[in-house]
Amino acid sequence: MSGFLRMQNITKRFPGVLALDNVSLSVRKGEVHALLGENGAGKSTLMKILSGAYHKDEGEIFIDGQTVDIRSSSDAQALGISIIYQELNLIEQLTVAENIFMGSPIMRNPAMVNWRAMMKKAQELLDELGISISARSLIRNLGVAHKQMVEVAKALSIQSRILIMDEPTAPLTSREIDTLFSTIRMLRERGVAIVYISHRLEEVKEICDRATIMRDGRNVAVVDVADTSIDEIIRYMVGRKLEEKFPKIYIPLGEELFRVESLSAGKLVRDVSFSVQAGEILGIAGLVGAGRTETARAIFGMDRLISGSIYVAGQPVVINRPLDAIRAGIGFVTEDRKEEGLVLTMNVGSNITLATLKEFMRLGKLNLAQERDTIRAYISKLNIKTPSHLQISRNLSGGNQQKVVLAKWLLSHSRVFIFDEPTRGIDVGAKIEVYNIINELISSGAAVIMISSELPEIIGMSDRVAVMHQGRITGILNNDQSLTQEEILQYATGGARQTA
Amino acid sequence: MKTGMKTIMIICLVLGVALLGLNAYVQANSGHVAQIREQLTQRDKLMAQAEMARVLGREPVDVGELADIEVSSADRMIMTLQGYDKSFLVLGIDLIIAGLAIAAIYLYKTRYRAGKERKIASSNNILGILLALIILCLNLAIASNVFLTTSNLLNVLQQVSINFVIAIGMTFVIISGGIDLSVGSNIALTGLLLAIMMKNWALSVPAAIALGLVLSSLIGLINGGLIAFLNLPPFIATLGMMSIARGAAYTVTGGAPIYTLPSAFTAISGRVANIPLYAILIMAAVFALGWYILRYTRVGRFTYAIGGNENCARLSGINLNSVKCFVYVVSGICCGVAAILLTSRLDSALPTNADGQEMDAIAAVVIGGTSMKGGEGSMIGTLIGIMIIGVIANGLNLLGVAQGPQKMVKGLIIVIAVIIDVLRRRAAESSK
Repeated sequence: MSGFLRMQNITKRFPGVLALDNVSLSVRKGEVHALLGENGAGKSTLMKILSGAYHKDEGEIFIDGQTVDIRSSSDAQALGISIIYQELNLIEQLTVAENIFMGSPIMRNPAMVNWRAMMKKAQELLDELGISISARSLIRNLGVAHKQMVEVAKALSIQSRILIMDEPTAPLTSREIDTLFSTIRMLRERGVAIVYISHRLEEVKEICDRATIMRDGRNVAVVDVADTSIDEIIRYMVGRKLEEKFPKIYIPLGEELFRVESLSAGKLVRDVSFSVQAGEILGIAGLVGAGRTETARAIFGMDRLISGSIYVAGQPVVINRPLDAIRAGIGFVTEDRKEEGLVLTMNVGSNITLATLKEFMRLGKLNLAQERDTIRAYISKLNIKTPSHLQISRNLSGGNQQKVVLAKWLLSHSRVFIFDEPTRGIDVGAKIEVYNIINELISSGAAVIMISSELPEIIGMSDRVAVMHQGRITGILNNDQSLTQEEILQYATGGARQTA
Repeated sequence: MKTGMKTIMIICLVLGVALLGLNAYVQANSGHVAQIREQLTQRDKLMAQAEMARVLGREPVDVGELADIEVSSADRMIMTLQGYDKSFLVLGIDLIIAGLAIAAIYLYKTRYRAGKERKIASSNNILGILLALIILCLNLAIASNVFLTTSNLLNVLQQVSINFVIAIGMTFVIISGGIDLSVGSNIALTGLLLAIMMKNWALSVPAAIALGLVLSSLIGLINGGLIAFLNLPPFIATLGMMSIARGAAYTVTGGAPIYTLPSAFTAISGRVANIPLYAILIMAAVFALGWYILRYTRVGRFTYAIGGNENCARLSGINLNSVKCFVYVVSGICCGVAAILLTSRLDSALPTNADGQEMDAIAAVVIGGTSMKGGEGSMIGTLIGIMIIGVIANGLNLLGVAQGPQKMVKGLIIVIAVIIDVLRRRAAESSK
């Protein structure tokens, strides 16, 4: 194998999950190499191993033919590996030059920064990149594209030989993308090996030389971009058949339980309308940053609505805060268990009854015995594995924590449930249990909205699928037997532009 | 690590036994040494007499032959060590306890650790600080004859009463993830207003008490409002209030104290059959109420929830603002009660009263195992924390330690308590 950077047979396990299974990646000098795959395919994990954020369990990494051991981000930096994340890592209050030389400022002596040399060097770097900004300007006064250029300059200042770009164009306009691409081409001339992660396949066609495609933590293919059509790439990305089994049930749909009309909130929810019937699961698909979670947050009163109306069982409801949503009969199982779903310092039982504590009040006193009985009933009903209902939630595994969150909302007598990534980070067995709980909900006449980045899950569980792209719903598809992941991806990448 | 622990255990046990032995040796020889001392003084006295006679030019009194007193080096050592024998005893016993504790933990781990993750529950924590309190009391009982007397213990109870009451309120605040620095100033201001109302406005004692409680809870409400509705950091909001209330206390009387309050009021801290009965009853009532609210009410549960994870609490439909206001009002009311106890005990109100009281309250809560990060803690823990602080202060007084070193010891204990909290947290995180 030739290749300036070679990652060979990398394997990485997380508790209960095999995140990377014998993955290999080889990037040449002066090559822009695309790393493609669906959300959760393992791209980020692979790059985190390369940048020292994670450590590999098995496999080897070679740079310029030498075996390297990357154990920290400073190791990676010393080897000339730079990563530019989607969220930029710049300090807004400082100047461009200060950000570029953040880690290692140019010093006059051990105690004093040589400002003049630093500004001069920074300006040279910027000029080389053809970026028309001053090294003295403050980051907060720059546009997104220029900020990204500063990141590139920062990477070059440490003599990067390998540059990883994670969705670099996501926040950019098409003019800004052109600027970025000319910079990338210049870096390619210089012999930098570039790993380019993007969901925008047209861009990959435009800028990349080869592509490594991943699925479910494995290599699927390495292709020459010029000889491969976008359709082919998508097929590699999603695979041919659904590999997991989903316990989908179909029950006769009832009355319309939930409807939103022309919902707008923040930047990522624009004119969203949909409805869900009793007994129905509406899947919401879309790429990262498409506005799915933001839509759910807006419905649940976590973010302020700009406009739009929400109806529960045909009645308009006003939701200004989560309490209003709960009172209207909406339950929201959030994406982030640890930040939003659970109080990790509280015991399992207290978490389960947190949203419904009122029901256990008798004459101003909590009826602990009744509360405990209910908690135990739910622990056994949902098969939550915990030594006691008094166990601190922090000590439970991810799947069991998720079931605690589910128990909380099952107790709440909601009729409309929003699940945001209900099975993220939990093992296969627990996934099936979560699906069964969702099935139970719709059987009892609830309406379910399920946000998921896993297309097989969306197709396997939903009755209909709403696909979002840049804050808008680009299509609501009936999930009959013929719905394919390709179709969803086409809507998710901005309408049916790339029809076969 | 394990060998290190074993070495420490062995050193503890050996040193402990050695110190106890030394103490026993000193004790056993104390009679003998006392005799020698007696003889030495006797001889010194005679020699002084003779010297005086010589100086005055008198006829020297015949003192006879001076007996030669033999002082062996062992005796000399015992004589120097005698002053420290109590500390040998205390230290020896502590070292042996420490050694045994390490051995017990080691045994427990090897026998019951079936590859299971360690469960770090709050009850373990309480057991630990309870043990610390018991050992502390044991030490003081050995070191001072006075410590275990009823009158001293009653004294301790009365001395901790102020800190007791406000630490209960502080427990709510800290569990909710906040902090209340304004408690000391709140007590001073409320105390002065109580005195003014009773003396200058001639209000009846119950009316004054009621208004005093209203004032102190109002201060708490302002704290809570700033923190809840304006999102001020609790540290800043209550720091501001600390200065404002203290300033107000100086302003209302122009800095002058108010003395001699109605006897119906001072009776609150008076003693019935030599027992500070009312103060004890008030403390018990405040504790019971605090414990009940934390355990048996929704707002108590919500206090834990917002301290543990504000986002999740909000998403679960909890009204964060009202819970936050509630905890600071509780803290304020506790200050009011403390002001009543303090002012009635001193029979005077000073603008400087309860200066720095917030530190003692925070220390008691933290020593009691409540996490400064919020979400974890218990009333029982705080109770033990209060007693630890009170017993230490009392013990240092009994041993005649000056104010300066006392403050240092208190600071040291707070730091150690927080270190334990941090280490426990780290262990909990790494075991995950």
